[in-house]
Amino acid sequence: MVRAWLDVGNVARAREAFGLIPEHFGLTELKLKELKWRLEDAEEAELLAESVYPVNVDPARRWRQPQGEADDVTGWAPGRVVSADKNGVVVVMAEMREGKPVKRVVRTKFTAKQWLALTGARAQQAHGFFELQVRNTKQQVVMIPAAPPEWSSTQLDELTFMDDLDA
Amino acid sequence: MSSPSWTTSTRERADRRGTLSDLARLTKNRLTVFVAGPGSGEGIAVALPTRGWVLVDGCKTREKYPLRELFKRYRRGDDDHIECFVWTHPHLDHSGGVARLVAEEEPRRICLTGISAEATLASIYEQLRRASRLVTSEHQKAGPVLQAVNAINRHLADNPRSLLALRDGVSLPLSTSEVCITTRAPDLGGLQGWLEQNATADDFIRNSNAISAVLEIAFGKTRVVLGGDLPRLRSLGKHPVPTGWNSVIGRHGQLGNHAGLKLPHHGSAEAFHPALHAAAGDARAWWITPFNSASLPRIADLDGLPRLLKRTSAIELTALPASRAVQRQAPPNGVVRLRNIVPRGPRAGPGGMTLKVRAVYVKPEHEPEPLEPVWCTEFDDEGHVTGRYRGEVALEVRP
Repeated sequence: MVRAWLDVGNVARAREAFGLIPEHFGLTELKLKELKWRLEDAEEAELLAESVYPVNVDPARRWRQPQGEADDVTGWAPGRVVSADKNGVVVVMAEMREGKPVKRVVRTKFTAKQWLALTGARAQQAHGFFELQVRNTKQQVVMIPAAPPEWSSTQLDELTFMDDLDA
Repeated sequence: MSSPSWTTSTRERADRRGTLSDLARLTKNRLTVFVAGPGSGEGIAVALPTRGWVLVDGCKTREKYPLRELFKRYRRGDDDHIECFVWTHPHLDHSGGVARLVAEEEPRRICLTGISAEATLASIYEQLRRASRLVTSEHQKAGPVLQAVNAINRHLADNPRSLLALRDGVSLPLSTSEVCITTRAPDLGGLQGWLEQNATADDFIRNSNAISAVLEIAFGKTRVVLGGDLPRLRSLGKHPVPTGWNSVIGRHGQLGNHAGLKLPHHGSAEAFHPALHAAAGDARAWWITPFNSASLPRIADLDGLPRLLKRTSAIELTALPASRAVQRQAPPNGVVRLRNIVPRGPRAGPGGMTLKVRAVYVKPEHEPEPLEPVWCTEFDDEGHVTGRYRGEVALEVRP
């Protein structure tokens, strides 16, 4: 039921169903972890309206520290490319406050020139998830690889959409 | 129930004004247009003068659907049916409650833009199925749209001739000859070009605004235009969208002369066209539904509400693009000056109340009730607005 509600985008009902799973229902720890992962990921997407982390990044590990070497990073925020063409890149990204991201997403545009300076790549090639990092007042974009999560390699391609008629 | 007040204000003609609770039943021989938009969706219900309804898109708030609530409340007997349901384009913010509406109210015709409505339906399904599963927010946006497709497919199994493809020149089949509703966009050539250029799932979903249906409603001398989400320009740069408003106005310049206009794409700058948004008399109605997550309509940007309010004396906004707490600060008479809506920060407006608007995610428990973010406007067949009624969080924004 949790999966089915998530599949149709009704996160509140998925949370409700998850809360009804008895403690000794017989689900393996792995299955419970998968459900919790999907649920928290979906709740975050609903809260923000736009995902800034790919589904394969464990929600428990998000928002805590920047990707990669973090020693000299003075500011960082996750984001995602929404659209891109030769003129520029539209992104959604978390607001940065005092060097750290907060769970509020803003939509903004980078010109092609800005994107090239941040990434070394052409604007029209932009896609996927990234992290904006600040090092010694210099900004750079680090791409975050997106992949199907370990707990489900095929499931996401085989989703069936049940009806939400009794909502 | 209080009596609606009468006002002439600066408008050319007196029209009956009040809250939605003042409107116990529909007025006879009037075309009545309800525009609903809680902040994350848009739906329009058109009650034809004697009987019959046309519903356009759908939205959801508090797990309820404003259009269904309106239809249940104002239905004029058992023979008053939903004659057509128009789904202008398959975006989440226009799909709330569509599955349930189709399953339970059984509209006689379901209308989608396309060369063939069956092909459009199949494309939506296939493209959304292929949409990225790695972006959870995109996946969530696809879910309700796919439910709508499933519901329409089931409806078609029992009513195989109920689907209608909309494109320029196609009129909705209505039971009355008093009103004619004709599609004005997209045109066939533009539609073919769009389909060739948007073959990938991401493009199909992202660019569907460009094939959003535009409807022209004619009732005697009265013209009402429902602009869907059709843009004029691409969001990046200033390039015209081939199927957009330049093309539509080029074919149908009469659309600029209207008594009512549901502004396209939540009043965005990309959808603004000087001929469609032409300055004219004050006795018309311009409706906007907000889209919170994109901060539409823009409050302070010069290409947002300020520009629109130079062309009309008032805009009927179904709700502020803000949290319900801010939405509910609407003044009792529902009238607010643009200078008293502050987009961000602590700056106070000069005099009167100040509404601090910030685009926010609204949790379901904080969403408005279904009939709160609604504007209802009545028209006679002489080109006049004869009544305006608002839900509790709906506002009339003036310069």
